[in-house]
Amino acid sequence: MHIRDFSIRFNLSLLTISASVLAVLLASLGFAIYEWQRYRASAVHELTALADILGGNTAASLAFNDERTAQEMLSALATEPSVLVACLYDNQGRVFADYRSSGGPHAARLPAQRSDGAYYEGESLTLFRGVLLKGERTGSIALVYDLGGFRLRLLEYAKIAILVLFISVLATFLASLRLAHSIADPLVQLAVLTHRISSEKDYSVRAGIRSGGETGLLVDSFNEMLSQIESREGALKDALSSLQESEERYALAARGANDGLWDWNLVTGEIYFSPRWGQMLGYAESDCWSTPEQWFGHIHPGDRERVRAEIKAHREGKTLEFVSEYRMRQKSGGYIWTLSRGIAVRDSTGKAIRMAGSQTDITEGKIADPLTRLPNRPYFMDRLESAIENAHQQKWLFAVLFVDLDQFKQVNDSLGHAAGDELLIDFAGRLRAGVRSNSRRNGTAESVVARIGGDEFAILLGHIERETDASKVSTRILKRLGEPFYVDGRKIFVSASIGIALNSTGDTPEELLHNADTAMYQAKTNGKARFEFFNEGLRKLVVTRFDIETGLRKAIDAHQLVLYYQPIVSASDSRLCGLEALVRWNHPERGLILPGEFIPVAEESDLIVLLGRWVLVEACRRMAEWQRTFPSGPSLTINVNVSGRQLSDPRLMEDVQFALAESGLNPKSLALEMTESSIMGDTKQTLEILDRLKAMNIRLQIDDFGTGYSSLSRLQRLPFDNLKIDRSFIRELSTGNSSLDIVRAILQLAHSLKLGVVAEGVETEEQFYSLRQLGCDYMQGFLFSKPVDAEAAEEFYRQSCNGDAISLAFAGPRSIHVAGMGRRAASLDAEHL
Amino acid sequence: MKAAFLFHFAQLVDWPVGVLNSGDPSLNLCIFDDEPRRQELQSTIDGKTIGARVFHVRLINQAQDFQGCNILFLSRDEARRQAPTLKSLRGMPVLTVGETANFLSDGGMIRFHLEEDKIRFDINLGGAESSHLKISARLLLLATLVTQSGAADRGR
Repeated sequence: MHIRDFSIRFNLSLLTISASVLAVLLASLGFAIYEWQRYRASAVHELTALADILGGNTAASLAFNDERTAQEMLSALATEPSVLVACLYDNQGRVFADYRSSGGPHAARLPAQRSDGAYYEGESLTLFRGVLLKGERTGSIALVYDLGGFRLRLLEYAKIAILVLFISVLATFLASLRLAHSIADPLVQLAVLTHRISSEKDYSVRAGIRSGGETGLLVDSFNEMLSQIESREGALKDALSSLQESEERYALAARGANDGLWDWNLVTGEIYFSPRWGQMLGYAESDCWSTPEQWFGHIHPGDRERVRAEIKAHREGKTLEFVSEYRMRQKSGGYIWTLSRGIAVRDSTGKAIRMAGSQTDITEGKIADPLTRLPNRPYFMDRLESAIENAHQQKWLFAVLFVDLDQFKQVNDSLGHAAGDELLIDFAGRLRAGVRSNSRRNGTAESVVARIGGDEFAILLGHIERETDASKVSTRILKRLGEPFYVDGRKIFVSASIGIALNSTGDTPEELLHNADTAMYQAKTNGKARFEFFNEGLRKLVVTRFDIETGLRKAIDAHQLVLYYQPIVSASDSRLCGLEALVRWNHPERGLILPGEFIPVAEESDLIVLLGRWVLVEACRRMAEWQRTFPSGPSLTINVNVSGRQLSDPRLMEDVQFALAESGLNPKSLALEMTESSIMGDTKQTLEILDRLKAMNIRLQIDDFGTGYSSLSRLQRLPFDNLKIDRSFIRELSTGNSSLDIVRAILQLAHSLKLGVVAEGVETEEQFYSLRQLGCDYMQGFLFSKPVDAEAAEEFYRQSCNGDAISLAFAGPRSIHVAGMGRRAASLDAEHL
Repeated sequence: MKAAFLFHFAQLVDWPVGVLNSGDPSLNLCIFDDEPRRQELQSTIDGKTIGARVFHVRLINQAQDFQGCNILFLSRDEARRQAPTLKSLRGMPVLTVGETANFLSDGGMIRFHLEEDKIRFDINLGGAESSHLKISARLLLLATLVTQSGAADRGR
């Protein structure tokens, strides 16, 4: 325990009491010493007087050697109890007379004679003094005085001193209490007040202690200090609240802008990231980031060094601002595009000490297709790649859907690009809704809908449970597409074909997407508006297509291609009036391959041009040969299909001229068939080509009419001779729906435009009669004949020279008369187109 | 020894004013010149001072020659001259000291005697008073016998 651990009151009391005790003790001691001195002085004085009296009395005794008288005189000392011993010496120093007090110690010795003066020894005082007789020294006297009496007096004094001490202690204690109160109370009050203020933070209270002197000064200063604190507190609060407000405003603005904020102390290396920052990357707020390395670690390896360099450049003052676009890895493994801006704070030497800025998620702008706002192909491939990684690690199943609009080209061609765009936007929305795409930021099992080409869309279904989940999504999408689209103010129906590839079918994004594409193609082949899964069979098909593509090039040179011919008859009398040339591939290993298998492959490349040229030349050559063989035969036409690609090929005219020139065929005998969609593309160029062909007297015919969107006004302006109704309308004639009306309408339309009408795919007598009744001009189909080889075709020609009609294949009881039926069509190879 | 006594007597006796204050500071002890202890007295006390006074031993040869004497010592050997000398000195301020048994009765003032081998003295206070000599009480205290007049008056 140290003295400062006690209270002021205690210390004050202790101090004052100690002081008073000390004072009393010192005073007593001083008094005692003084008394002692005085006592001794008075003793000496008394003794001297006594010695003088005795000396005076005994001087004569000494002079006259009268010991007896001297002795008598000394014995008078009995009245002086303090004198223990008295002794007279003669001038020779011999003891002349002596006296011993009866009360004194018996052992009291006679002191040996010494020179005059007072001598203290123990508690006794011995005084030597000369004895004079009329100034003549006759001897000396010694008196021994007992100072013990002083002890008694001292005891008396001590009693008084103790009493005084007691009173003074009591008095000072009482006084100190008052003093301590007057000093300590204000201090205690101040302490209590301080404590209260510090705990309640209420700076408006004031110390109300009335006190003068230093304490008053302290109280005043304390109150003044409180006033200052209060005003400063107020100012601080105002500043704080305005700061808070501005901070909140800024935080709100940053949140509104969806920006992440960073603040990097370049001195300590610490860095702060706002919660939004982590959120952007799919981290929870608890995944606290605090080092720049975490930042750089999440930057795409391809961008990392560039970003570092850009930051460094700004730190070194080479750029006014740090602005960088880079990719950052999300927690899920995917990347987002971010735009980071920052600015450095520099010290007086220009050294950057702090750098702060924002980070914005610009993935949307970076990856989105501007038209549909869907992610683009690179982004999709990126997501696909990380999906492959994740699935590989987690043993997940996911699916890639390749979606292709079945009728986009037609819409785009017939209604214009704006309409096409409108359709794509609507279509994209339906895809998205169909997938009910989870946000790409939320979690790992994400779905992505992307536009990867003109009318091609791809969907990544992240983490599905089973194959049927992909089917369900596809079904949902197809169902949504069943609703009409409103484009350019029109109500149209479009469908889509979907190919699905599961991640088990490929290892790379490209492979998976290609597989989905293949499956989509299969869906299209299977009739469109459906979905197909990619499987091993399709893979084989893909391989086959590859084989076809490579094989076809050789096939042309190797003379593996052959032409088959299908008769076209006049509806009125069933006489042969033309042959449509159809190409077949006589594959050395696979046998005869139908055009449906290789024409689409050829159409995807320039093979179709080569193929088309070959067909054109061969068909013209054959027809010219037949015409020379049967010079008196009817004037038959040879119908050759021209693909859209050929039409846009600038050498088409040359090819046609070459074919005619080489065969010597009359252009009138050549009819070129082209589909509705193929002539809808570049109107001006197409029209020019058609006009030139027409000018050569070549017959022109629209193929597959009814599947496109040809407008009447357009048809009117095109130099066509005939129109071939698509087989789908013919097929449905017997089912009794609206097909009959459509065919009738087409016939009326065509006839009003002075166009001949050909019906293809006629298979039953019912169709035959219906069409004849409706006024159809020409027919072709299995009812008359399937496509046959050149030899069989020549036979038909030969027969027609005799005026024979083509026999009906299914002549029944109600069969019409068919003249000159030489050979049954059924006997021909049962080839199906 | 008696010489020292004589000196001390002089110390304790006051002579009348005028006797000793005549400008002469000497205080004279007179002895007869035939005094056998003349030598001893002279050597012991001559020249000693009592206050401002100087003690002198003076020799006289006849009784008429007492002028200037303050103290007169008559030894036992001067017994024949004792009575006439004392007679002639009566009333005169001269302290007379003697040794004989009838010295006081003869009118002497202080008389030595031996008491247990110690020199003691008696005083004739009346003789001294009649000679206007004042004898100190301290001296009287030491006297064996103090008489008021003559030898008949004994006691303290």
